[in-house]
Amino acid sequence: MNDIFGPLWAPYVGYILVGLVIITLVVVMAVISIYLERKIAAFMQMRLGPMRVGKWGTLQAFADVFKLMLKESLTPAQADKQLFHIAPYLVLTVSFLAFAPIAFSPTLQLWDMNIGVLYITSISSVGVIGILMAGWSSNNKYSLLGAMRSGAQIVSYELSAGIAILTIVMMSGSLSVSGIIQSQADGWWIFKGHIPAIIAFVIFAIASTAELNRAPFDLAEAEQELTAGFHTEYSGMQFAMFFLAEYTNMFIVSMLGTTLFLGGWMPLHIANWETFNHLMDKIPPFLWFFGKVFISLFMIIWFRWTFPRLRIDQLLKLEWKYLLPIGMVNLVIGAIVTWLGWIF
Amino acid sequence: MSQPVEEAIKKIFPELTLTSWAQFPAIEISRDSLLSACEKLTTHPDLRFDMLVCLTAVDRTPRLEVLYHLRSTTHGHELIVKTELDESQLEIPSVVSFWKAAELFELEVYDMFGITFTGHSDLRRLFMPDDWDGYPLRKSYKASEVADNYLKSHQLLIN
Amino acid sequence: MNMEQHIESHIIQSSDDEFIINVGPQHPSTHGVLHLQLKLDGEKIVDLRPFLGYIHRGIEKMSESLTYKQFIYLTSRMDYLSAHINNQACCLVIEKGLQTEVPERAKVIRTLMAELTRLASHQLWWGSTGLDMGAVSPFFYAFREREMILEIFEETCGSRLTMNYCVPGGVMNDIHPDFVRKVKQLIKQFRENIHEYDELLTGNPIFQSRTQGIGYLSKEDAIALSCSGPVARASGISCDVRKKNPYDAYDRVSFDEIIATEGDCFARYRVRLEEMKQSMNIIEQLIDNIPTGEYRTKIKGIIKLPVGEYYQRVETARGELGVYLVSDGSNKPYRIKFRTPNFSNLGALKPMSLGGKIGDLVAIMASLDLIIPDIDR
Repeated sequence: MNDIFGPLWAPYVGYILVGLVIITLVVVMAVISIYLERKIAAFMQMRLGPMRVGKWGTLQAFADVFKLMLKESLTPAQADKQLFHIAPYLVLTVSFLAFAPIAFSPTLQLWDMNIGVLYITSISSVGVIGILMAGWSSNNKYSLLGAMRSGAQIVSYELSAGIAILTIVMMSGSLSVSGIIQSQADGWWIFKGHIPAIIAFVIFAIASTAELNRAPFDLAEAEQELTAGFHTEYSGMQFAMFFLAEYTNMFIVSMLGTTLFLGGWMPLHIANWETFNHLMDKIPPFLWFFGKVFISLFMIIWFRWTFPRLRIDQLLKLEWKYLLPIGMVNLVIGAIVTWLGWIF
Repeated sequence: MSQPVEEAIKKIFPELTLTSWAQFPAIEISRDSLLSACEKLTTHPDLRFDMLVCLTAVDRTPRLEVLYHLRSTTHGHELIVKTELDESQLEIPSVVSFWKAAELFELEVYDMFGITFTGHSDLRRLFMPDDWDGYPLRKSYKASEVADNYLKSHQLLIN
Repeated sequence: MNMEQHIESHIIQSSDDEFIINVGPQHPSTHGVLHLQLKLDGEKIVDLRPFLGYIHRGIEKMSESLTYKQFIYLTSRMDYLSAHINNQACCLVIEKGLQTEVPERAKVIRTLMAELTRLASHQLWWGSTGLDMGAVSPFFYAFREREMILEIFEETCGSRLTMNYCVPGGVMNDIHPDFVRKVKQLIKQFRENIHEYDELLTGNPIFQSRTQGIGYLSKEDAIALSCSGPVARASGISCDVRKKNPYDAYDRVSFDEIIATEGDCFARYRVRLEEMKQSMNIIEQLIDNIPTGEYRTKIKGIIKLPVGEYYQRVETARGELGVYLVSDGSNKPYRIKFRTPNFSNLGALKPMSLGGKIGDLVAIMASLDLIIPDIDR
């Protein structure tokens, strides 16, 4: 790189290249998860899903994105133009930024900062601003209602998700992503940490589904009630950005859950089963990582197509009366367990 | 089962003649005694007509007949109450205070026949647009003429 | 009055903290073109006003210029999910007027078709209830069995939704030779699969928390509003027309009338689920014993009912349908009034939803199972 561009430019070119790689990776993963969602939903509903575009419908997501790019992006006449245009970019950028500290394998990590986990949760919180911007600037009663519901939901559930994450951080003693993964070298936290980790995992799963605005917590987009919620007025490429951001967030949440609870790229080792462990080591780490991510993704998709929707007050009650107190008690138990060394 | 109700009606409304409408006993009440009759029909223990099954009208020009089909869920008997209105005076008191179901039924009769129900809180046209001319279920109503005039006046006809 | 004044006159007076939302007429969850104007205080509904007429086709007026045989076909389009039962009501009224005897075979066939219609209607209702609550998958499961029923209809009657199979005097054509076999197959499959209905929705805690205690309709209110069908039966009123005034073959089958007392959305849901099972019982009792004989009594010439008034009521999937017919002796009805169940059930919407939230309104509308063309006619 130095030879081609000279020492002054090389680092910046490097950064740009890496950024492009990440963007491509994100887009590819989002497209895969869109395809997965449609196929899984279809099989659960006794039908086939996309079958015509590409072999077994694999190119369907590309066709959809292509169509959305060609559509006209309408801006409502009375909308606040600057905010209206910034909102989708904000939501999408925030999703991309959260990929920075994630470790796909021991050698593939963009930026191993020492506060990786904290960075991910903080950056995801900024996404709420984008949603509220979208709802407000659309100048539409329905979008406003949808955005406010969404905002209330995300802000509440961040607390529970944060406490669940905190439990693991406390047990592993590190905020950095590589540190947490290393601490799982002798067993994934969901096995090592027994009760506090399992409860934290369940709370994290529920809270993250709520943060993603997915069923059963998808009030903000409840088509049957308020058309499409905060992104009612968006069309064309801007709608595609919200759409893409939702699936990217799904991925981030799965990856975070995998890193914290399921060992990241660590293979499954069972103590004293040497041959088994050798076999597990043969599978490359990034396959381990993506395998676990896809299992979490499957669970999230499964939830959406099985459960009916909760009402806003039931949703908030679930958070404030059940998840948060249980999470806090669990945190204390986790602290005691760690202090006493009662970990496998 | 309708024997008891006919006897009860003869006892409570001795001034009325009992006729029949389809398979039900029927009585005819004048517009002015409608409310007091409904009072008796709903509260008298032998009658107790607590359900208004249907409220409709029939155009027998020059008169319009308003029909009330009543049923008692406690005794099981049914009755038809008829009121005749003259074409020139299409007003009748509303029975909403006795049966809440009358609210929607009366709106439909107002819309379709032009009978005003005094005492109804929100008398508006139900099916037809607010500025529609005429009352569709009257025999004198000519559907195609009214529709054409409406479209023309709202500049909705494509020439 | 021009359009602006027209719209203005419909805006409810509101203070500053309340705002007005129009739900519909085009809306995925109102089961038809129903326009509701809601006055909201935050999330709470403070006032509700329905606006009708978007699908008013003037069926009653049109019937006055059609002959007796012709107007029956218009009634399929009222409550299109109980199309057969609507036709049956009209045929029964004409037969009552002419005092014709309907052959036993025709009675049993008409009853079987009516119960199949009721089953299909409740299945669609179940699927769309799940859909309204946010659970998409139940919709597909509901349609799996409904498809079988619609195929049976298509074979015998020629059409899936608006059958026009009933004619005064009997049915238009004899049943298809495969009818009995296919209906038995359907019942067998449905009985095996009905536990899925309970697993997917009935036992789901989220569904229960969204329907239990929501949309309470007291018995007095239900009577005062003339509600009928599952809406009334879930509030404790015994009003099944098939039991109270049996018609066609209902006097020779035994089935239970399902009554619940809680009066909330979940009670209405349960009543309809149980009614599906009762429909299956009725079909099973009749399917093996279809009497042989004529399927129709030929009515000669043009039908002219004697001067007078005639009335018949039937139990559609949604409640009591009453047909009032005034005849002046000619070959066209002088006045027909259809007392449709959904018209009165709509009146129950306001007392049930005031004070609740919009999410509750969706649950209430799903449990009321309104069909708007039935209201507008």
